[in-house]
Amino acid sequence: MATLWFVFWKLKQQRAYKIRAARTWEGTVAQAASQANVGTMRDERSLGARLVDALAGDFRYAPVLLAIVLIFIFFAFQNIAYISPRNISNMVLQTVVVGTIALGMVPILLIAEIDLAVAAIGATAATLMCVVVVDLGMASWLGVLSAVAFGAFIGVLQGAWIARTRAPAFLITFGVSLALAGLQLSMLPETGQYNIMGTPLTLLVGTFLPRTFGWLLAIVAIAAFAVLRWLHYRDARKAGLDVSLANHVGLPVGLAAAALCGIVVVLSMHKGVPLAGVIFIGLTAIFSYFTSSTRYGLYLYAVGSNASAVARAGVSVNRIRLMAFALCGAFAAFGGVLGASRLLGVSAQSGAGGELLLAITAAVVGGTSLFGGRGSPWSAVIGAFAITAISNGMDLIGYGTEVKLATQGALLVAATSIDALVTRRPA
Amino acid sequence: MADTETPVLELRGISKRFGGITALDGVSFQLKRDEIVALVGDNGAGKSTLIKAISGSVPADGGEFLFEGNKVDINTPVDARALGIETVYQDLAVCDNLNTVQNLFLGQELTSGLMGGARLRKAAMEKRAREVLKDFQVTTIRSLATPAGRLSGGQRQAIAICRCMLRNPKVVLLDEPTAALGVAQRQQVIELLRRLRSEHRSIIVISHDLNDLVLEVADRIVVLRLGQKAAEFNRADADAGKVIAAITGIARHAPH
Ligand SMILES: Nc1ncnc2c1ncn2[C@@H]1O[C@H](COP(=O)(O)OP(=O)(O)OP(=O)(O)O)[C@@H](O)[C@H]1O
Ligand SMILES: [Mg+2]
Repeated sequence: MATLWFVFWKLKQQRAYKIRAARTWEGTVAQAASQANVGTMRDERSLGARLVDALAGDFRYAPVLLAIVLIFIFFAFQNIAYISPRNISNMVLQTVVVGTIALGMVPILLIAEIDLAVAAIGATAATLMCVVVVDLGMASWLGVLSAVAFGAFIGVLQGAWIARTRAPAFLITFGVSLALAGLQLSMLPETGQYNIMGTPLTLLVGTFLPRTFGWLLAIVAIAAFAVLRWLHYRDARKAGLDVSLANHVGLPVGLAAAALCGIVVVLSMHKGVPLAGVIFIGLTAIFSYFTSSTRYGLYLYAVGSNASAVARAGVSVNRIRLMAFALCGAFAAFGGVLGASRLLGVSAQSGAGGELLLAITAAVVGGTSLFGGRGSPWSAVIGAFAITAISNGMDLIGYGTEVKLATQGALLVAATSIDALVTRRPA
Repeated sequence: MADTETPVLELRGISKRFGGITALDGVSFQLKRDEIVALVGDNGAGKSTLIKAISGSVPADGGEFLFEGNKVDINTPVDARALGIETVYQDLAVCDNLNTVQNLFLGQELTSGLMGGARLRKAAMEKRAREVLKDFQVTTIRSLATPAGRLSGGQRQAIAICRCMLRNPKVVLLDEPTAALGVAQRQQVIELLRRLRSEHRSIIVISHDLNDLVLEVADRIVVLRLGQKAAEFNRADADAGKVIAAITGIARHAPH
């Protein structure tokens, strides 16, 4: 429902814009046309080309949101338990681990690099956390902190190395992932696993907020979003730009509020809003503010499209690369921490369960391009939720691992191909 | 009050070697106030290298620069920028996925400061962008929100030129700004050059476009051949035949 609304709203906005543009530009267009027949820019391209453009731009979330709706309908018909509050709550928790790692993949993909070490970073960081908490008996928060710091540190090392040598990131990070797997094995005790049952670490994923608190948080989040939109609107007004309160503040805030309230209602019917979900969405929101509203966020996009242009503009491209890899390492580590909290420990198998490919798939399915310069942190949330919705449904119906693996593979191939198609790289 | 006779920029014996290749060999000339100097020469003559030396991105290894009569060192792009020298490079420094406003302000974004959340002041930048584009009568970019990748070559060139205007430079260097442009768009860029000059900015422009650009708008023409200054013409004394002869070095020519 929200999808359709969003599409409808965007369409309306574009139409309104075209009408306004036509009025304002009548004079200048006539002038330009008399100067020469340059760029009156009427869209005379084929429907296909325009569709591809739309998918690359404002409508980038439309296909995946539509896909999620279809997935829900499909599995709900197979087994109505699929849409029970209990299962949806479960899906949210499953989304959080892959989604957090995918969130780290976003800045890397934006600068047109790749990090194949994220799963290994997550597993090794989680193991370090266990060493700190279980072996050394230190506070849980210290364990989490050291894990995230470790991830960021590995990210900085990788980023510095790749920025310096300009060696292909996929091989460097693959090498690092092997080295980290070795490091992780050497950190594990003889039993080959750490058990964190009974430590506060399990609370990270095991905590559900009381109903009133969940609602309070939702209201605060909506209010914060409204304030941000309003600041935007006020600035635009001050600058004398043509913006309307309804389009600029009302609709986006209304849509976000509707979506958030819907989710909180469903989750409240089970155990309440999970803490991990709040952290995940909170991190995404902060990160999204960073990418869309700050200068260094903008540079991520710029570097992904034309690094030498950024360098000539006087910005240190290597510093941006370093930042992207550091962010990725930190998110990957935190994803590993959440995974350990969910599975109540770490083992040699941690990080070997396809998290890497799932994280990449999630970001790409959500609309972040592998070719750099296009995407958003929200793609990690939406993409991770979409692939979780599929694997959860398959588990519920009882499909075997063979079907799940094949589906995951097909999804990665499909998402990458669509990405290539939309990006239309010239040969 | 600067003496109007003092050149804005003077090059004295600028040289540059790349290993065994002498790309620039003692090039000297002056750029006066409100003047367009066209730099012409065959492929590999050293034109781009000279522009890069002045802009500090590939520092010269011999000779000296005088800026408004004072000897200056230009060893990095920051040095040049601090003097008020801006460069529009041959391969455009435009990001295809960023829109016009973002490209115009790349590297010099207006932000609200750390206390204000380090927010990009998008509206203020858009307003300023509209002003600059209007000043330069760049009227064909319909929506400032369109990614640059979907704009035409001329529009992208206009963005690249307007971007350096945001820094209010005294000297603008352009490397083949009309290469790969259609007739109409080339005309627009030439108009832009005229407008820059009328705003009291001095310009050095590289071009292979003798008839439309060099002989039309340049006040002076400096010819490079094999890294050396082969000739220098005032526009009044120049014609295509003489300039081509100087470029190729085949016929006799009268050095200025
Ligand atoms: N980074 C470099 N390393 C080695 N040689 C270089 C380098 N840059 C330029 N050269 C050499 O210096 C000479 C001058 O090159 P430059 O790019 O300045 O020519 P140009 O006049 O701009 O030519 P064009 O009209 O083709 O753009 C050429 O012989 C070129 O091979
Ligand atoms: Mg050149």
